[in-house]
Amino acid sequence: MIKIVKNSYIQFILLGLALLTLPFIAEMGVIRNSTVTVIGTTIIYTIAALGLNVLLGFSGLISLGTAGFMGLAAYISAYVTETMNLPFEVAVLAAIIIPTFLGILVGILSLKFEGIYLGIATLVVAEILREIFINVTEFTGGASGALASRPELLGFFKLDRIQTYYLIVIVMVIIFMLIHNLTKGHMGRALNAMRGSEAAAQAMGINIFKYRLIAFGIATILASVSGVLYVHYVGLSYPTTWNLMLSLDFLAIIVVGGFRSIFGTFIGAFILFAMSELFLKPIPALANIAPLVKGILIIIFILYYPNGLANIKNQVSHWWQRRKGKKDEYGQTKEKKKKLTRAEVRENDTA
Amino acid sequence: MANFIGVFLRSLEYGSFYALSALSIILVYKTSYTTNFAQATLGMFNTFLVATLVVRQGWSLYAAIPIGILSAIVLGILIDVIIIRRATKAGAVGKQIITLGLISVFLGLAPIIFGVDNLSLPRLISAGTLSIFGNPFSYNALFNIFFGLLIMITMFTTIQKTKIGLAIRTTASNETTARIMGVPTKTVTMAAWAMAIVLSLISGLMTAPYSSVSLTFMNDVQITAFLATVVGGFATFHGPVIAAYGISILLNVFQVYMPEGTVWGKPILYAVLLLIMYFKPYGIFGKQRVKKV
Amino acid sequence: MIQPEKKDIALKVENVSIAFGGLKAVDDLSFSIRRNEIYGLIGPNGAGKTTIFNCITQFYKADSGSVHFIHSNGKETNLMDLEVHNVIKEGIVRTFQNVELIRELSIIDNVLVGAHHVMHQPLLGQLFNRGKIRRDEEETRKKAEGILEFLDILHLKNFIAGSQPYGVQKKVEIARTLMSNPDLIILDEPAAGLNDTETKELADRIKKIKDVYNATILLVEHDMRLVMDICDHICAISFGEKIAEGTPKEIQSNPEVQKAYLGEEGELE
Ligand SMILES: Nc1ncnc2c1ncn2[C@@H]1O[C@H](COP(=O)(O)OP(=O)(O)O)[C@@H](O)[C@H]1O
Ligand SMILES: [Mg+2]
Repeated sequence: MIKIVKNSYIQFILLGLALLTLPFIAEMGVIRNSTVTVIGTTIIYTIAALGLNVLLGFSGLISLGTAGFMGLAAYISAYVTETMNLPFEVAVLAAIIIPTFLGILVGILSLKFEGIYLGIATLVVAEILREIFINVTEFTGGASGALASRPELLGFFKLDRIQTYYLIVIVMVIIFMLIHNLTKGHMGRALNAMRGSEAAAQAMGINIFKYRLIAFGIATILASVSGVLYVHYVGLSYPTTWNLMLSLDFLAIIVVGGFRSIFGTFIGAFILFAMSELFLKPIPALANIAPLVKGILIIIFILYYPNGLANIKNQVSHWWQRRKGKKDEYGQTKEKKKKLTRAEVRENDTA
Repeated sequence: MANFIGVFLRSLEYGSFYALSALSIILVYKTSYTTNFAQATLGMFNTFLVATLVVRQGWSLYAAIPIGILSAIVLGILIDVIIIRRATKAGAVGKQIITLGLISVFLGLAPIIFGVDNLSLPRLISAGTLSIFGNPFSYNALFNIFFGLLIMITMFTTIQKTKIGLAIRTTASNETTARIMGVPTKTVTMAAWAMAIVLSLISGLMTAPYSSVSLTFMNDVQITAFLATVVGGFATFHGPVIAAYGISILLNVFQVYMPEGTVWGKPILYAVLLLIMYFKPYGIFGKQRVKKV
Repeated sequence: MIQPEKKDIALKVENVSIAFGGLKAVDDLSFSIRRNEIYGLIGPNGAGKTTIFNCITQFYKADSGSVHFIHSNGKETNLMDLEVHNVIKEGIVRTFQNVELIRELSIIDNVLVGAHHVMHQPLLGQLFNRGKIRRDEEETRKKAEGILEFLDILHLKNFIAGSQPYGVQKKVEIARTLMSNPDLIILDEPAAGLNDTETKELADRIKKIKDVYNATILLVEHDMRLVMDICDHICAISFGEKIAEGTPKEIQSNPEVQKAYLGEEGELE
């Protein structure tokens, strides 16, 4: 039983199933419908934040363009479905391919030489995109925003609000699995190596430029997926949504949740976004302190708890193992046990 | 021709804004190895303080500015002492993230303290125009040009010719060696942070009258300043500053002479500068350093 | 010294020079390494030994000169034409003077990084975790465990690399090089920080690596006993220039070498 629960896929599916029950719970009146909407949006943010986590957590590269790429995908998807009247699937493809292509281009320009240039380049690109969102009104609707309807799958299956929520949960679970596959093996090692020691990575045949590009590509793809889901779930896209503050929210999510941790990303999004929407926003006196709190959390976590909340799980299992160790062997190999459990921190790391 | 001289002078004026911010960025970068993304936000915050004193409390601008400078110095010291100094384990990326956290902190703090409305800040010199080759040019603009240049000249003479400058340069080239040689690197870093935030404030005070004091009014300046730092290279103090003036000229030329330049001049310039990032990755004034392994 | 025949040579460094600013770190240096020998590079601190390693492995691009690697099938590659991450594909792998590990990963994961270029895992295959990928991972892990066992650190495989003593970390670096099926292994001060027993053990292991893995070994080391004990040939350099080359015996009795070392290491045993 324990073993099954330890399998990451099963964990992702269990999480997905738990999230799928929320609309029923809302139906029963235990939670509000708006809460389900907030959770749906939280999941959408989790996806973009997970992309940033692959980039920043694994490869140690900063992007300030997450919101910009997400917005670009949102506008493209809205434009393709509403203005061009093309199928949802076409919109999804276009809304992922175009931003990713742009992302790769930015990556090529900035990642060849110094990792730190990506932060600056993405800041610049986000600004260019913002100008486009505001000024190219035929495409974006300018300040009044772009509208999008709920997804219509395969041209006939029109989803309602709750079905769209299900779609979002399913997409999340699939993305969790795929990212888990990518980061736990060959590529994850290459990214880790690159972050840990560029020299060692290069000596072992890892092409730094290539892996930086791949990591940034993944971040852009996930930001795009997130943007598509957003616009068809929320129904609207305003230029003011896609600002630097949103990109910083994603950053806060992974710093608080935990670098390189999929569940951590989810927890971070839940705490920083869902909690602040559900508990801070309704109280007028607290409505405006969210950015301040996020900023302080970022700084405190980097300084004092750099592994994020995901690490709590490891610390608990550490503590549990030590207790068990004491019971089993009456402390005779206590020293050894302690060390071993520390090593196990790593085994749970990417789960 | 007359028009061009007007464009050139305007470039010098905007160049001051960018150069002050670029100098702020490079000063922090070289002394504490931190890419300070919060430069603009901190400048905004202190400019807001000055604007609030002037607009809401009825202070004179010249009385409010010293308070702004004091606040900038205190903030610089606090940020260095409370946060940056403790981030020894964080590494370059961790410190960058911290500066991003600072953006969030001060973007959150500003509306709480100063209110949500944009404020309009008067010019440093309120009236008077001069005609230069038929271009009307305000005293304020001329002041911005000369004051900007004055600060640059003062800073560079300090860095190159004085003992303090020597301490800054040794800290910048190698912190550990500098410390062993008896340079008070902690004080240098702290002073650099304070100085940097004062420079951002000055940049903000000069920029604000042309727009209004809002949460994001310095973002453009910051982006241009960062690009100037990349184009000028992180290797020297003067590279980013010279690049800032150069970019300012380009930007004004784009905006004036390009069709729809006021809207698209800036984005197109940004795109061009990204290309320069690729072809001149260590900047025009920097050279490639062989990373020691 | 008699020049070795061409087909016996594994690495040929010819007239390599590199300068940093005004400082000539390596000055017109040439030497050749025979296949399947242990070749030592010695010299005082700052002599340019690590810099030569960097010029061979393309971390630095030499200002002039050439570095050729001759494969056992006779094919000759000019390493200077390669990008740094492609050097390992020629069968050349190195360690670093200041241990370069991924500190927060376990030892086994660090070692697995060494197999990066021998693993063929297309991105899409990884994405869907295809059976082939899983089997490849499994096999590579087995191989890594074998190597850790060979170096007596298998029991530590799940420990975090960064929290291990220096001696273990050095071994992990060596283990990582072995994962890549190397022909030429370049070791930068492998015994630094080890005590006497550990150094003896290391000497033994290096000789074994040469035989078991059929590899050529080039090393820099300050511990003269180790160098004299295991090297077939030695090159002594000072201020970037070669001052002597030969067998351990010849080097020991060379007056130039003794002069260069006076005040640095004292005497040569
Ligand atoms: N990337 C670099 N930039 C500047 N100087 C360097 C660099 N790499 C090595 N040097 C200099 O080259 C000289 C030789 O260094 P090195 O090869 O490390 O000596 P060692 O023989 O001790 O390994 C030293 O003076 C060192 O400072
Ligand atoms: Mg060395």
